[in-house]
Amino acid sequence: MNGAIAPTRERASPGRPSRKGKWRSLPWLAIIMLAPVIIFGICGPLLYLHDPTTIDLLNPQKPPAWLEGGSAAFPLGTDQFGRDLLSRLIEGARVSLIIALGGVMVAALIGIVAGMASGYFGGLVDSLISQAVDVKMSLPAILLIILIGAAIGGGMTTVLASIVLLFWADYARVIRAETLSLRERGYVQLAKVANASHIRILTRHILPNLFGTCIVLVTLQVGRAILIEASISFIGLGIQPPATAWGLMVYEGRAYLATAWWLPTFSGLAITMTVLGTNLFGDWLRDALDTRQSSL
Amino acid sequence: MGRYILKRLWRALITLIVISMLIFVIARVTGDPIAYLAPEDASEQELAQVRARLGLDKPIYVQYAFYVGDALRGDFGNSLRYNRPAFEMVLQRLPATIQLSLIAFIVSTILGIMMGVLAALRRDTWIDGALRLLAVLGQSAPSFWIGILAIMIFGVHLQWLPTSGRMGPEYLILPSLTLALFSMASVMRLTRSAMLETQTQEYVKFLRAKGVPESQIIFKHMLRNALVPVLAVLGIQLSHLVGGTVIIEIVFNWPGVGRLMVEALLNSDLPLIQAGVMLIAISVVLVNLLVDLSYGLVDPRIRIE
Amino acid sequence: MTDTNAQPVIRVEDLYVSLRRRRDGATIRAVNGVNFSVGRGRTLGIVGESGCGKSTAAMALVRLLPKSAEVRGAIHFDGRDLATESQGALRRIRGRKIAMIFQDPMVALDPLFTVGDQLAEPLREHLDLDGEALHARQVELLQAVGISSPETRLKQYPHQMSGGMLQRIVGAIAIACNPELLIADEPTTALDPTAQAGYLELLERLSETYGLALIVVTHDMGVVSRICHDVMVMYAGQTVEYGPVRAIFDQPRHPYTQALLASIPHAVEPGACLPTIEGQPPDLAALPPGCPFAARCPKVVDRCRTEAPPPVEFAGGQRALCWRADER
Repeated sequence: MNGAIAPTRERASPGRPSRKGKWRSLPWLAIIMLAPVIIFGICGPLLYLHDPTTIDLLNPQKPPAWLEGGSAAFPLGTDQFGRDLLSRLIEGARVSLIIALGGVMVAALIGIVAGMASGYFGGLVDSLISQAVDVKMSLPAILLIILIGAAIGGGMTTVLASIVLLFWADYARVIRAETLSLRERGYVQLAKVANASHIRILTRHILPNLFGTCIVLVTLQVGRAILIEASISFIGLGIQPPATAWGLMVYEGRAYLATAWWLPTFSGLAITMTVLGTNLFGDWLRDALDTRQSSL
Repeated sequence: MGRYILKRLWRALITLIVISMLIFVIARVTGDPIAYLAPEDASEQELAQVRARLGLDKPIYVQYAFYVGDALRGDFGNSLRYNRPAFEMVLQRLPATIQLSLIAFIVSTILGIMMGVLAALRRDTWIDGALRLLAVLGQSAPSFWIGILAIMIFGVHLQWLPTSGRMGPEYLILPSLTLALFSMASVMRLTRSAMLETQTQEYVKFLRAKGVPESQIIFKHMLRNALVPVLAVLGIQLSHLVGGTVIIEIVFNWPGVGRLMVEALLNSDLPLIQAGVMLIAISVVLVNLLVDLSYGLVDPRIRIE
Repeated sequence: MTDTNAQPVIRVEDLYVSLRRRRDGATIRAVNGVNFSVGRGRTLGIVGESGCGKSTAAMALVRLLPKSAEVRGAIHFDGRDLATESQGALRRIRGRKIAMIFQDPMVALDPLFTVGDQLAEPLREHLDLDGEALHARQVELLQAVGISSPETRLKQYPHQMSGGMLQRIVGAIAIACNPELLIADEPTTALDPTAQAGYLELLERLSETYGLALIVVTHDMGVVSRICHDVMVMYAGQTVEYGPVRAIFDQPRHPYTQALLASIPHAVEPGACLPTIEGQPPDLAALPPGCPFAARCPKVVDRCRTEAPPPVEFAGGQRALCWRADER
């Protein structure tokens, strides 16, 4: 019963737009949300209207410019010490972005190495790493943060350590699964037969194929890292005043929500917009790169 | 099923051992416990005596064993600030935290599933679009900010609901809804994609060919199948919720374990932190175990090997 | 026309189906003017390569199509025209008078419910069976498809059964309400050769025992030669050739049918390359004028590209849609 019709090759799966079309439809909404954050993050100090830390007791709690009592000198108003909110938001963008990107990069590095080792070598390495990933997954993030806080107190290091400790496992889990399937591919098997060293196989044959997955994961994680940073700052373990970060600004603004609603509102809005932007961008990237990992 | 249960029990045990080790190590790095316990002008000899009495002269693994033994008896020492047994203080606050997270868990699961099903059934309509937007917003906005906005709108401006403390049931509304938002968004997204996935399954086509009414196909077959992957992540959702509680308790002044721990953290009250972390870890691990076991009830492929 | 029985179970006239493509909203003309009929105890094979509209044509009979689908033409069945019936009325016909089975019996059943539960669904729904009567019928059905110890099997889940067992269960569900017509959509595609043979045997037996009219949709000429009485060859939504299996295998009139038969492995000299048909079928959203096969046809003449060929009838009920069908 082999009379199957062989003549034509199956056409490209219907209903799926061509790759070209996908790249053409860029996620404009995400780009619009992220562009100001990235610009502020890179050239922040050039854009300050005021020094973000200068206290101006003549202008405390000034409302945004478009409200009664506001002035064009302080477009988004001022805080309880008369510091310009917009300038502080720009400063916060820098801090938040640096921490989020830095933390995610380190976590990615650790996670990718662990995941590749786990998936490629299997055995004891695999069961140890998988066990660690499992444990991390079943513990609430906040407990790890509190423990780190208890060990080293608050500050930038705590935030970075928390992000690394919380995120490496996500990379390890996903990369392990990808490596497991890559390991069985023909060209990897061939490389093994050709007596290539493990290092060579891992870096030349496996790592390049993980690129898409990593890029997508990093993008999505940056959003989550900003949220984590904000939460840590909010419980007082993060960036310490007079330095600032968005989470801290929401926390400080909380005390004034009856008299100066713009303080917590705009700082929170900045966080939300940035995270939303990275989430949308990451979702788009996942579809565009056709990453099969649905678990991202 | 037996193997499955054993595996889950093993994981729960490992998790608890790891967290207890972490706590133990941190308790040791942050300083010599003697510093708290002995009088400041104590001589070397007196210090050695105290050390011997506390077992601190023994090897580290023996100390750990002692530590676990104490922890099992609920002895984490006295709170440095309040000078009361830390374990007791945490236990007192536990009901408030459990109440808050449990309600948020139920709300987020039920609403999330309902919204996910609705979005999947109305795929590519404005309802689907609105729900998806809500979901991605819920996953992007920090919960403390949503909480603060809610306080500003419903508490300060409209004065509809209380925003601070834990007196009557109405005090639960804002905190639990705020807490539920993130989980609800995750559950919704997952349910939606799981429902869309089941829609393409062969057995759904076969059910239609059998002439089974559409409502029965959706609610008996598709929903139950879609719930399998949803159930698998409910444990993780619960972890998120418990973590989120800490923040929400601060925003809404809720007298739970989370707020107690953050206060303890700012006071460097180590025994209180240890007791709090351990108790929360135990609760989360236990509930995770329950979720894993209920997974077996829904999916016969796990129940019957 | 080839049916020996006077009154066919189902008679389809000028069936047209168009669908909307999700990607760009273009209208796909999936089925373009198809005619056929099947009598009691007869088996019709609908054959063609993927995307030729064969499955759509079969699913259109019970209107199990995407919401965007538009069906025109007449589907005479059981004294009514299914093309005009409401979805509600069709649901009462599906599983009751017209049963369908699909590609892979391994995934045809919901993994979360017992076999008994899924066998009970059509019985409850269509025949209002309950309690003892329901149970008796379930047991009877499993015995009819040759399953031993039906009582235990009813309480089991799909993952506890072998592929062969699941085939029979699916068969039992299909015949549960004594249907008059059974449509099998690619019944063997996902199966290995042994399982294919078993499944076809089962279908054949059910068709014979219960006097079912059977429609088998397949891309496999081997399946057609194995169990079908009549065959309909489809290309780009059209019936390019139709008639008794014997006649068509002996003397295919349409170049496409000829090419299909030539590509059956055992028809080729050992060691020789399998002949293939060059090119791709046309885009169903933008069908060319004239014969849709013209672009790939080895016998193409100028006329084929501009004018649609008329059906040409031959002795024995064979007909072909080709300008050069008369030529030898």
